Amino acid sequence: MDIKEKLRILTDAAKYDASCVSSNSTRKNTAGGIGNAAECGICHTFTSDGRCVSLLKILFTNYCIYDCKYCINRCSNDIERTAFTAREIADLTIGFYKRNYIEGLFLSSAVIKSPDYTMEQIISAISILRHEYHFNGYIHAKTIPGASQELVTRLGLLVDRMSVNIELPSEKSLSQLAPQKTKKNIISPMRQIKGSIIQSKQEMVVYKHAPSFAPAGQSTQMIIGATPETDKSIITLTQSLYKSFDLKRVFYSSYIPVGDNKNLPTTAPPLLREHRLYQADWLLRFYGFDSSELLDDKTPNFSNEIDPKCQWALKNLHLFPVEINKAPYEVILRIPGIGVRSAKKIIRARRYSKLSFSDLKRMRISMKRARYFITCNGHTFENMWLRQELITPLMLSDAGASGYGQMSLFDEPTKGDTIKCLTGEI
Amino acid sequence: MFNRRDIIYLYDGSFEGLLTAVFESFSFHEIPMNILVNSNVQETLDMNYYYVNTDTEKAYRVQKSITQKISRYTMHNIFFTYLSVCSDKEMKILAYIHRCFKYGKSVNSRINDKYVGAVCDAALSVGNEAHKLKGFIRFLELSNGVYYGKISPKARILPALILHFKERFNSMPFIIHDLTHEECLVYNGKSAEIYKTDTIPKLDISDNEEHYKALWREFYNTVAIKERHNPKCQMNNMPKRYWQHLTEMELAN
Ligand code: SF4
Repeated sequence: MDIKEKLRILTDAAKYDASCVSSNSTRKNTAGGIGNAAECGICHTFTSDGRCVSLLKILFTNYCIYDCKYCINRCSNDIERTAFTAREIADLTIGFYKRNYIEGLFLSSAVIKSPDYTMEQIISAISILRHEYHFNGYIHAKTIPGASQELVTRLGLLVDRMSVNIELPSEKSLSQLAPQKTKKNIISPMRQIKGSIIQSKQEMVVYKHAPSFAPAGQSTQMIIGATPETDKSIITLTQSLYKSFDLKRVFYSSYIPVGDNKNLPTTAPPLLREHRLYQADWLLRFYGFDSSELLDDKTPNFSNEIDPKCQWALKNLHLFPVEINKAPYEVILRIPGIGVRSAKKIIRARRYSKLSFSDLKRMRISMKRARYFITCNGHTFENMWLRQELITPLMLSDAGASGYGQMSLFDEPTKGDTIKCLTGEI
Repeated sequence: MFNRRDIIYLYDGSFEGLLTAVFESFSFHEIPMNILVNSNVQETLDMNYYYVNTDTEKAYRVQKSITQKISRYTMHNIFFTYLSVCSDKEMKILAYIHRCFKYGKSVNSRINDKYVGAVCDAALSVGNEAHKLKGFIRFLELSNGVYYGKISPKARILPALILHFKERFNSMPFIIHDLTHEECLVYNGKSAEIYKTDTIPKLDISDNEEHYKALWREFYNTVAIKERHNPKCQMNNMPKRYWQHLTEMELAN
């Protein structure tokens, strides 16, 4: 099979993987080498579905001995199969990199022959890149569940980021749909990677040239919408993953129907759900929220109309309005519509003069959502009357009228969902 | 400081020239009506013109005093604003430098000041364009092993790209050709230089090129998820003006 054909098949098999992030690494170029990692991450192009392409994201092979029900590569599925050679992967990566098509490589694989055998193939491709071509660009590799500890260590010393997919949001779903995978096989490499990263950081403090182990950390991914878990259980799991394994990112990937298994839904969940989970994920990582603040047993899922921060704010109207000139940073961060950058701008600017609404406008801080929740020097926006019973309907009508930010980019919520939202929580 | 409504400073368009103009304005204790690039100006009779003699020593003194008294970041803001296409950028830079000496180190926190805001915004937009181009430049391999890429940026972005590609490509020689401003950044594997050019050179393209182009297009087209087609989002992130030089979009155009 020619290389173009292989590339098509093994890109197609890898494309549903959500993570294509190349940030967080500061790997430097070496004398005679090529490439480095940009700390902030660089997008090289955007696909027609609007996603950033930063890495050459491919599978080493789609031959698989496992039979995970939700996966297009499962052995019981009748599809075209192929495998790259290690050299082909290395040459593609270098050829693309020199033309500035990509930031680096994201290599994952189905399980061919055995987990250890697969890991060895991945390691040999990356070794050619690092040792023969002296490639110092970004590499993200997936470890194969069930591979030996020694191979995990070898891989970790070659790459910038490692990930182990948690696959599904609960052990029960995992045993139902991926019977050959066990929670233990997923959790133990995660724990090992965490330990090695910490150890390597400590060694680097002592010896400058100590080898670095996955300097951009580890991440994971789970498929959502294939199994019945609520948003609440997903973000609770997310939070505990961040805490227990120091993960850099948790990625969510909306299930795309591939199987005929009776335990699987036949339609894809709305993309909006994935979007809401990412928004909530940001609230956990950068905004100081705890998962228990966002959702509870009474409202176990996010709203279709409004983002998780608004949803939280509307539940906690007694904390508003917030005075922009006085409130501490943590409180400003919790105002709907105010992001980390805007919050920092406010804190910086107000040290020198009291801020008015026109100052905020000059500072290009969006008032679209924030206006319902703030005062400037005691004044409300356009002297609006901030009454609890008014804010909610106002925000909802905004949501309907203006397509609410990205709303229009996603599947329209069904009428049923809207009604549930109006009568239930709000 | 006198506000002189009757005099316009003319400089040669270089960054050193602009900093010299700033130096002169401070030493004459006057704020000119405008600072313009001399080649763009039709002189009129009712206006006085002062020709700024670019003087690297004076320019260096302005630069040194800003970096030392305020910050390197402030100097970076000034340089990026100079690269920008923002209107009246010279006068905005002058006003910003006045604010620098008035407010000292806290100047960049005063984003509600008109001129501080204007310079920060202009610098940010140049920074954004440079950041986007770090991803969107496409190189072709030439037969002599040099990699050549064309861009059509709004701002004069080349100086903002040197360090990034130098560190990345190391000993690999490359040329970035800015078609808008007719300038070429040439890196020979050791040092980089920017030249004026008004011709597109005849390129002797390597035999590998078509192969890699085809592979890249295959990858690009395959990796998109058809069920989630979303051209609006694509266009927001990658505005159409960049498409003309993107290998993967050539056919879409
Ligand atoms: S092991 Fe991976 S590739 Fe193989 S069927 Fe399971 S999820 Fe798919």
